[in-house]
Amino acid sequence: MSLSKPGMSRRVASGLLIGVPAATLLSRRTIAQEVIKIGAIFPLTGANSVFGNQNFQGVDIAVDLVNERGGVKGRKVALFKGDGHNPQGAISETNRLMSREGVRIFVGSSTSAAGMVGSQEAERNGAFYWEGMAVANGYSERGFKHAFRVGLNASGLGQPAPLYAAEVVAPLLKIDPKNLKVAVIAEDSAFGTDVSKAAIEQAEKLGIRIGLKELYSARTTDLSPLVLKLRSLAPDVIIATQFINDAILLQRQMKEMGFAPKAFIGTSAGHSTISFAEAIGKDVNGIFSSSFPLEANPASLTAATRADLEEFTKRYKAKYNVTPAVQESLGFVVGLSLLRDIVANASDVTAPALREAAVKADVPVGSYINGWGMKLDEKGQNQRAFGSVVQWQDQRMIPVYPQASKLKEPIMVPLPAWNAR
Amino acid sequence: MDIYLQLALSGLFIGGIYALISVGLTLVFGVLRVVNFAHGEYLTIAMFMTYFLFHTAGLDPFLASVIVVPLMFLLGLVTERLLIRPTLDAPHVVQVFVTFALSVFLQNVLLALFTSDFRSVRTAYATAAFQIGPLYVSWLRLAAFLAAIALAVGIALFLKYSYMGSAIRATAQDRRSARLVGINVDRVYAITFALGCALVGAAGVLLSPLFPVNPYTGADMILVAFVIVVLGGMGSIGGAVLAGLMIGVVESFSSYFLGGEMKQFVYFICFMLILAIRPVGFFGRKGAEVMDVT
Repeated sequence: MSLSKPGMSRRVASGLLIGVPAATLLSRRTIAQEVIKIGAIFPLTGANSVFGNQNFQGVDIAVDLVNERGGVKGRKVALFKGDGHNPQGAISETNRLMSREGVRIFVGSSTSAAGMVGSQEAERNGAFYWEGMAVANGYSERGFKHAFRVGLNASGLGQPAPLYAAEVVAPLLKIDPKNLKVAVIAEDSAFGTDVSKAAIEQAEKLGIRIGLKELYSARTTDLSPLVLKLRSLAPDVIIATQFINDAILLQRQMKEMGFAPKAFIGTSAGHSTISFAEAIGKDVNGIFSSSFPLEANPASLTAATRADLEEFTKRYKAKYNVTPAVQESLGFVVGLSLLRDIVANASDVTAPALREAAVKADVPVGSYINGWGMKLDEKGQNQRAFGSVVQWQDQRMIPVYPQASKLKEPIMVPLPAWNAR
Repeated sequence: MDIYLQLALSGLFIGGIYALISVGLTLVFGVLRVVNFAHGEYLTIAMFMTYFLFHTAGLDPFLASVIVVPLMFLLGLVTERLLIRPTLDAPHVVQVFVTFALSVFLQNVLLALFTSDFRSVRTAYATAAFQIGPLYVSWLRLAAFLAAIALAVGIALFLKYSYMGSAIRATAQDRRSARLVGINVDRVYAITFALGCALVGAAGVLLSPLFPVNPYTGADMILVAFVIVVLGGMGSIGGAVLAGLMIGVVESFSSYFLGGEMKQFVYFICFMLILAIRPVGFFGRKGAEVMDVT
């Protein structure tokens, strides 16, 4: 008797050993036939995780919505997280999702650091990479066949600031654009250098003189030397590419030193975040931020897109208990454009078929909740993505440029004294 | 001339805060010979505590220090008992792994609890400033600087004149002899580690109205603290204060004259030059890094 018990359990155990993996394999195979797997490479931890999580959650809502509307050609979509908190992380997570989960389609990436290498790993392994947020111009200059970008490049993000300065701010200041004194400042990562370079090139095309160009590390704890430089130059307009921490620090230290330009135009990413407004309160009013579009003028959207917008906002609030802003809505656009306009129109879910669908895609402007459409050029860059300018009015972001996004007229040009905002 | 004075002033203000972060780190190193890689996370925790006391109880950051600093002291006692004491006799590499793992663990706990959003303590006086001639002086930065210097002087006096301070110095010099003359070395270790945490807690409170906090804030600020500790001489409080102020001023001048992206480059050059001439730092003593030099 005493021997039979272990014998029994051994039989049960061996049965389990064979049965459980077989069942798992079977269920995995069944799922594999049904589910379309999307890998999401975003910085979910680390310094850029604010944007990473906001972008990811936007994509997540798009996947929820598509699934509830019946999936893609009847197949459900499953989203797999990959933490691209730095380039090494993006490489290993892209590979892990390919080899362990069998993912062949990726979205990303919040940062150019992650997007450049994630897409490279995908391309090397014949997978498809759908970029929405990384802006590095080099992304679409590498001749990759299966890496596309529905979002803006650095030029698209940097150009609206000088355009707005010349077209709108200069006339309000009653200064000829050619006589505007402009200072360009930027944090010194690839993001800041690429975007500020695009802003400077655009400014020079418009005949605007750049009086000061200054880079600094976003991790800085003191920007007073920069404020002193700005004060001695006394620019009419400051164009600044900053993250959150440094954007807050600059405004606070400018106020401490009693200095303000006549207009301040941020080119993202910090200036269009709620954290920025919370940190400086009323001082935020009057600041412009050129960025990915916050919201479109409803008149410029199709009826179906207006319904999407309402649905997205409702779902996002319900799931994440916060009102979505720029980065969240961008995530939604990236997810929806991939599923609705690429995967659903491809003959199958292989990279070549997806490429074919991407090249053919012709989605009119106003088809996504931020006002964009989609037409990808031969390099894989979306030609119907555009940047917009918002202004903080009454501590809320209000789109003021271009016409397709504009909801209100700009105010506070020139910027009033610090205590009068 | 005005610009030089303004730059020096800005540099001293930020340097004072650097010094306060570094004093706790150097104290723990000097006595326990443990490099606490989680020091930055304790700064972050103190900033989060201040933030929540401000937003939930409406407590001004300077008042919140009465709660935050003792809590940080307690947290230090617990950490020492659970994680540091069991590894004190282990090779250095074990201590490095333990405190490094603690750093990563705390970052991720904070991330899970509070997400990576930046949170700000916004006081009415956050950006208030006054002018002396052509110089702009921020009240808050001045107050933070004075508090930092006062705390550093206070801790130096405590070490020099109190019984516990003498016991800490004796233990730092020679652990075995300290034990022989009846000093409770374990207690000295616990108090020292907790003091280090309380000091960085005070730094967190002072920084809260100046900088937004997210789970990585401390990690971003800690690199400069390590540089300061080595430059000042490992274990030397006076050295940490001097090196903190020096780095602050060097940063300020190099940002203005060479550009913001050059400031780390410049202070690392200074760092290497000074160590080449004086390898133990300003006030360090030879062999300070060796455990129990008897």
